Amino acid sequence: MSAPLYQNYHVHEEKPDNAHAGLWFDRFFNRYRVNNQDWEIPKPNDHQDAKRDWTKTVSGPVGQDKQLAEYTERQTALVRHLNGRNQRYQTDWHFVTGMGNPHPVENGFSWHPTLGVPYLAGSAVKGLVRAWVENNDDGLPIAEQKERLKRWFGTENKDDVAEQTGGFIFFDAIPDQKPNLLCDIMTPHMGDWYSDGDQGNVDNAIPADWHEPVPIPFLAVKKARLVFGIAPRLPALAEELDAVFDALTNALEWLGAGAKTAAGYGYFSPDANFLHEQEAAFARQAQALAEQRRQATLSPIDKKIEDFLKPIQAAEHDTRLLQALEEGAWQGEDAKVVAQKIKTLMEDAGKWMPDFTGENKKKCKFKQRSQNVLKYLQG
Amino acid sequence: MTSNNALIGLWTETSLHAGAGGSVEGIDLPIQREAHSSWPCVYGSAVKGALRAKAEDKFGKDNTSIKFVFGPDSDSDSASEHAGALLVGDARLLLLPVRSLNSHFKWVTCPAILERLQRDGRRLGIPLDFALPQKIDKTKVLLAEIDGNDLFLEEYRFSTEEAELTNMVQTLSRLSGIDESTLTAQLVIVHNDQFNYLSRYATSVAAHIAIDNNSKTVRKGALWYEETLPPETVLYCALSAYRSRDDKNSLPADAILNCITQDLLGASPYLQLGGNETVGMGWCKVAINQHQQA
Repeated sequence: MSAPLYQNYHVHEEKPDNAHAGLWFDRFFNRYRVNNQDWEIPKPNDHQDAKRDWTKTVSGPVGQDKQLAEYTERQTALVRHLNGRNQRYQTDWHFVTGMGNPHPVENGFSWHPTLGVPYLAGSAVKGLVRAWVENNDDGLPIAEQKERLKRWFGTENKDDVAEQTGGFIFFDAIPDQKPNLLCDIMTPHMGDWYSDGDQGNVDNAIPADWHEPVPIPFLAVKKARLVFGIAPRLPALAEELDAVFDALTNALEWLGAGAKTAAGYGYFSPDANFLHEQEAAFARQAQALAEQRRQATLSPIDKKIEDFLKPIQAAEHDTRLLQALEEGAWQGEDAKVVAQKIKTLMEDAGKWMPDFTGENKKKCKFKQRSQNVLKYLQG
Repeated sequence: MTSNNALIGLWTETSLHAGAGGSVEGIDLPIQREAHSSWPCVYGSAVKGALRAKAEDKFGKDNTSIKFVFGPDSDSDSASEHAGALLVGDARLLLLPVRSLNSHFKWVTCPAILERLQRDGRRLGIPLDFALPQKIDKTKVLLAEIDGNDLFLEEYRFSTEEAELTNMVQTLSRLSGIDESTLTAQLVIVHNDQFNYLSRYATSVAAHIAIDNNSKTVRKGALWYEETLPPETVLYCALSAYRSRDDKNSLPADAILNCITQDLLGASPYLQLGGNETVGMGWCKVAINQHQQA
């Protein structure tokens, strides 16, 4: 899976700015050296370490904010449509997933196919929640817990024919803003013991302090926030959604997701701001939609009046409209509509007084203006 | 017999695994592909099943329209009475998202795919007017806007050529629901042979394991490789409706089609296709294109 590219391919030396970081990571490892017609990766020395140096080319923020935000919006719309819910969780410390994938630097990484960011696949989320429910009975009797497992996740043993599929849909957990990656190092001190310990008769196959520590660089997530989505597959299960989210929260806080959880990787805490942000976003969307609907019902002239008034302070609406009307901005039927609008504005402001008889200077001005408008109204 | 037709665009929101069964080339669970072209697809039977399942969820299993549209339940005694009145085609590939060094991904298609789309449109009486791209060099790609850089799709490097794609982008936008500016920026047309290669090797293949909860280790034998169509893949599917075949209560073709395009998908434009539903796979956003009768 990981072979060097042809030399005359003229690939980029460095990862281009907008590149899919996962593509770069999976396909463009360029630190091989030819030794006796064999491709090898140079061993680390004082000045350089090919694996570490290359891993650093992928570290830093990855992905594109706009795409991540749009994708999150689409996913939350889908989950909401299915009567499910989203919740965001933030990494407590580092997090790493997909280390088992093949890669020249030894440890792979799990990349989202189109967004180019680390993520947790829905299957991983489902397995995580299941692990929590299996280990923690929530005060339920054994029989009921078994029933819950089957209801939430489906039949466990699928050897023959699975009897029942799970009642909940677990979506991929995806960052909604750029995650930050770093080049992390693990240093197994007793490599021979780990790799050959079970052989028994190999030299050095004992855990002892004379082994050479070997630093192995690998790519990890330094900081990320992931949006999780869970939806009931059957309407009858909707009321258990909260319980499923509780299990997810507990699993992320206590079991951890991804690899190396025993070393403190992969723990997440719920992000309290998310629900507020989401509600605000939904309110904005609803408002925008209502505005869009209202605009659609406006006649062309009403629309023109609205556009004309947009940059003008409310207190000047009537005077400025009248000014434009007198300058001939509108003719015929349009002029009548505009005049009607001015009349309404003046009435609302208590300035409509075509029949005023008195000395008050201000009111006389309003009278004059009202009469001017009337001329247009009568055509 | 007159029919009413629609083309539905399917824009995948999540990964899609319509399994072919059997394994090939080291992939335990490959996806469905067309035999002659090896392009990924979702078989018509799977699409029809998904539509029926959605309809049964929404209107109840015993709804009579469901019987007219899809045919009587195959488990019931009346299965042989009449066939369904809706013809569902394979969901055919239109745009494949491929990772790129120039942007997170590009939507890749080829002249053969576009030409087939137009043929499907003509057959259904839904005009899809755009100029098919002229001959493309194998080392080149056509883009709506070029910026002087070569384009990397996966590890392949292509030189770029600007092409007038406005009409095509408009049509594809209408068909898929993706907005025009996004398509303009990301649409790429490659040579047919290159497309074949990409559609075979640029799909995602993910390793899966199952963990034994007691030992916290991988369960014995539980490592499998599963192929999926990535999110953002665009497929389309032809629907043709005929007058219902139940003699007693006949529904005309347009009513049959409306059952799907309006009642079923109108208010809820999502369809779940393929396997692994409970791990979030197979959710497609549906766009409906119907020939407007005057």
